[in-house]
This record gives sequence, C-alpha cells and structure tokens, in this order.
Amino acid sequence: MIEVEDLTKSFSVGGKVLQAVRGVDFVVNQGETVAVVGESGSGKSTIANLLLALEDLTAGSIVFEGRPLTHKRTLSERRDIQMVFQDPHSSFNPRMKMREAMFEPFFVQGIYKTFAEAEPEILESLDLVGLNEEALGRYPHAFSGGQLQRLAIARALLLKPKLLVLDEPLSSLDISLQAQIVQLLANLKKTLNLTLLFITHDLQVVRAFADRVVVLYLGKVMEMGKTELLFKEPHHPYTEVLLSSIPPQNPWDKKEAMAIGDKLPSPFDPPSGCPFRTRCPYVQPQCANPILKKSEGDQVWWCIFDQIPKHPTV
Amino acid sequence: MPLLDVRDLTTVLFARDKDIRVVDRLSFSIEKGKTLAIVGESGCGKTMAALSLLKLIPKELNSQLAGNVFLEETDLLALSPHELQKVRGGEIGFIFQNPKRALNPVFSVGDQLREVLHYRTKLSEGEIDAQVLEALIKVGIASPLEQLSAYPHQLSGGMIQRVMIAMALLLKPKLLIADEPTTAIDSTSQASVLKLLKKLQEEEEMALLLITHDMGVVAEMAHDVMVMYATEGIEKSKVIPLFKKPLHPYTEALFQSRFVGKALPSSIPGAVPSPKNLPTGCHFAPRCPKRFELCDQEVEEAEVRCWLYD
Repeated sequence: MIEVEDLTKSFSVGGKVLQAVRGVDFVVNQGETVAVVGESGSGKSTIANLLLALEDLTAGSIVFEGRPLTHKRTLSERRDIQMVFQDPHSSFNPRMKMREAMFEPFFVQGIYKTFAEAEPEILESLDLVGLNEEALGRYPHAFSGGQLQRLAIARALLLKPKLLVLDEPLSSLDISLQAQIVQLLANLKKTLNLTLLFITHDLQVVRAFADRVVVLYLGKVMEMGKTELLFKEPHHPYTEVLLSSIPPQNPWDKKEAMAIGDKLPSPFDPPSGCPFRTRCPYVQPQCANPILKKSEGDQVWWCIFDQIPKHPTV
Repeated sequence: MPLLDVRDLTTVLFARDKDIRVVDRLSFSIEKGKTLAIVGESGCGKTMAALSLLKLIPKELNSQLAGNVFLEETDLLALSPHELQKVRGGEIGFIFQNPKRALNPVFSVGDQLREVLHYRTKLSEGEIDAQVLEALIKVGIASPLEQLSAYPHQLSGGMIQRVMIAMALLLKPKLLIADEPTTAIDSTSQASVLKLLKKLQEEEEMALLLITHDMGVVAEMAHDVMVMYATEGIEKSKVIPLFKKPLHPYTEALFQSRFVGKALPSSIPGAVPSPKNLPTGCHFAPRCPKRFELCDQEVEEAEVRCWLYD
C-alpha cells in the first residue's frame, strides 16, 4: 500500500545539519499494522510527519498505492492518510466545541458545507469509538484523556482514510485506558479494513498489536520483520537491547537488562557505519561497514553478524 | 520497628464549595532498606499521599492533614514548619516524574547540585565540589566533570533523572520517595535508572517509596506493594503473593489490563471516580465484575479491603 524508499529528512539548526531520518526503506501492506519503534531521537515522529506531508522530504520517495506523493498533495491524497497524535489535549482546539472540531475535516475538504449534511457520518464515527451525540456539545477540556483520544481517532476516521498513522497514541494515557484504546483500534481495523502505522516506544504494546516491526536507531533502520519472529529471535544487537529493557512480567522472572548507557550519540554528528556501534556490546572493527542481511522469514537487519554473538566484546 | 510508619493519613482539600477528601485513612509502613510500591490508576491519590507525607501539597489547595507519619520515632505531621524543612531532602529525598521540570533551566547542573549542600550543610567549597562530583560518579554519569557545567536541556531524560537521584542522595536520605521516576523516559533508560536505584538502595540501605502505575516496574523493584483506588489503600501484600494471586477485584483488573505476551489485555470498564463524588460503600463496586449486595456498605480497612474476604 505504501512504499517508502530512501526516506531522508535533515533540519538545519543553528547553522548545523541535524539528520533526523537517514535513508529509511520500508513497506506497509494493505490491512497490516506496522509498528515503528526506537528511543526518543530515533526519527520515529519525523517519519510520521513525512508521511502526512507535515514536513517536506529532503530526499527519497513515498509511493502510495502506486502513485508517488510529494509534500504538495491534492485533497484526496490528504484524505487517504490521517493521523492521531500523542497528546489528545493538544490536538483539539480548546475553543472549538466537538461539533465544530468534527465538522472541520469535511469543511476543509469541501465535502459538506453545513453541519447537518455531515451529521450522520459524524455520529457514525462517534459510534465506532463508543461515544454518542452528547459529546458534540462539549469543549475538549470537558473530556478525560481517554475519551479525547477516542475522539481524535473518530475525527481521523471521518474522511475514511486508507492508512491511519498513530504517533505514540497511548503514551499519555493511563494503563487501563491503554488497553481500551488498543482494543478499539484492533476492532476498528477489523471492521473498517484499516491499515495502521503505529509509532511507539512501548514494546509490550507492539508485541500484542503489530504484525510487523521496524526498529529505528538514529534515523536508520536497524532491523525489521514479523513481530513474532523478531521477538523470538532478534538479529540486531540493538533489537536485543530493546527487548531486554522490557520490565519483567513477574517478580520471579527478573532478568538483567543490558546496559548501554543513556547517551544517544549526537544526531548532528552520528557515528559512521553502523550508528549503534558506539553503544553496541558486540562492537567489532568491521562495524564501520554493516551489511544488509536477510533471513527466510522476511527479517532484515543491518549488521556484520548473522546471529547475535553469545558473549559481549566490551 | 519500621523506618516509616504511616497511620490513618487523611488529606482533605478545602475547595470553594466542598471539602474534598483526596487521601482517606491510609496506613502503611516501610522497613529500612526495603521498597514499597504504591500502584493504581491516575487519580487514585498516589501522588497526593506521597506529597502529604512531607506536607508538600501546594498552599493554594488549602489542605488539611490528619493521622500520623512516623519516621522512626518522630511524627512528621506534628513537626514545626522549620523542623519539617530539615527532613525534606534531608532524611527523606524526593524525585519527581518529569525530571526536566524539576531542574531550573537557567542554572548549570553543577550549580544546582552545589546549592543543596550550600544551603543544608556547613561544608567548605572544596568539600562541596568533591561531594557533588562523587554523587555524579555514583549515579553513573559518564564524564561527570564536563556534565557539571551542562545545562538541563543538554541532557537526555535518563541523564537528568540520574542527576535528580544524585541530588536526592547528597544529604544521604534514609528514605527516597520516587514518584513515577521512569514514566517520562525511554525504555532503555528506564531499565538502567531502575538498576541504579536498586544498586544505591542496597549500598546505602535506603528505603524506597515508589509510586508507579507500571506492574513491570513493581515486579522489578518492590518488596511490598500497596494498591490504591479512589483515595484508599485497597490491597497490601508482599510482592510475590500479589503477583501469584491478586485478591482484590481491582488488583486483578489492573493485572489483566497489562500488556503481557501476545494477547491483547482487557481494560477496566468505566473510570476512577472523582474524589469529589465517590460512590458509597466500596468505591470500586460500580466497576467491579464481582459486586454483590454487601458492596453498598463501607468496607473496613484491611489487608484486602473487599467484602469477598470479610
């Protein structure tokens, strides 16, 4: 459905060049849920913004259903990809009642001129997320975070997008609400045949929810593959580190998390070769030239090793 | 004797039209060198309880506290403001959820660490510098000398949380209260910050009061657990029995809402009631799948506060 090739974005900050995304390739197939994971600063959100044309590409291409997309998009191209942001409180205008906020997409797209015309579709969308007409008369501040995130999803669905991009949609929510929203998304995906690109740093959510995973580090893909295989047998040391940082399920199965230090190298001057080599426990001189490797199960990783070594070198 | 013994701690806020009880007769204790985790959804009163221990609730909320907070033999709630000020950051350290907001953006990390010792001790400049440096080394900050002159915005979330821990440790507290210390930072940093807290706790025999909503963090860190719901403590247990068999239906529901393995978790229907408008009887009853007639009546304080275990 969407094919991203050599996606690159640099920002110029105070005369220096910050390379947020550096040559990322991946595809999202129709009906799939793909998770993009990585630490903060890995370029996850920038990828979302590029897909939505909120930023323009420095280089590379985005092909959606066979058509290349630039950052100048037609109304229908914009309709096809919609986004849900991390903080629902800041993604609604505080001075707009829900009635206006929900009508706005139709107005901007020129689909309907009056609220009355849009109302049946708005109500249908609210119903999908378990809310009703009563919500329309209220301002954003009158909702809880969970309700507001459901409204943000309802609003994103109004234009019947083919791809829904979710940028950390759970991280500002409480535990039991996270479960609620993930269930809602899983149901919507089934009923509406949606394709989802899910950006998150929470690997436990990824495991329960995503079909495939893209692991990013400093703007580059380290590894990607089917969720189940990747969790069972990571091939890139960075994936292994991420997996080892998941807190234990029970107090009796604690395991030692791999220590790699807190400090991400500066994105202004990322390490050459494999960007993870400055923190990698298995670093070798050859890491200056990582190799693209593939396994049978579609797993792809950039590393010098076929398999993660058993013992750290540092 | 426990290091911290809290009995019937109650916090009431006097709002314009109504008195709001945000912490209701909370009792718990922490032994020297042990970790107690307080868990629950947001809005259950976890943070209010922690702030109440040191009378740290903002003035404008007009709070009134009742009960006792014994730190060894001293009842903190009975201390004069001046005496209590010595305990804050002294015998009891505090670290907060969002470390970026806890530091002043216009002073260097080193200045802010030094300030603590200037204000609280009579050490000489040289001794202060030495102790600050030692604290940064202890919390595992790479190139500590350089970091002294760094400003908060130059550090990552994980590093700032380490600085906050270093700051809290300067006065060698017997108890460290950590309110969601890893919620705002990355998962790789979370793992290393938790590891650090554990190591320091063992070395210094420091007790830890950990506030969190993450059962994974509880599993990693806690010896004892108190589950809070709608202003009350509803289940108290050692950590292993709690994970083997949670008893209160709310605790059970919390466990079921975790993301574990490949299955989608189930959510708890409804929301935490506002302390302005609590249901009578068991506060969890309206959301509880196991409720029965008795649940309309108030449950006595107990290890498991539920009529099923009466």
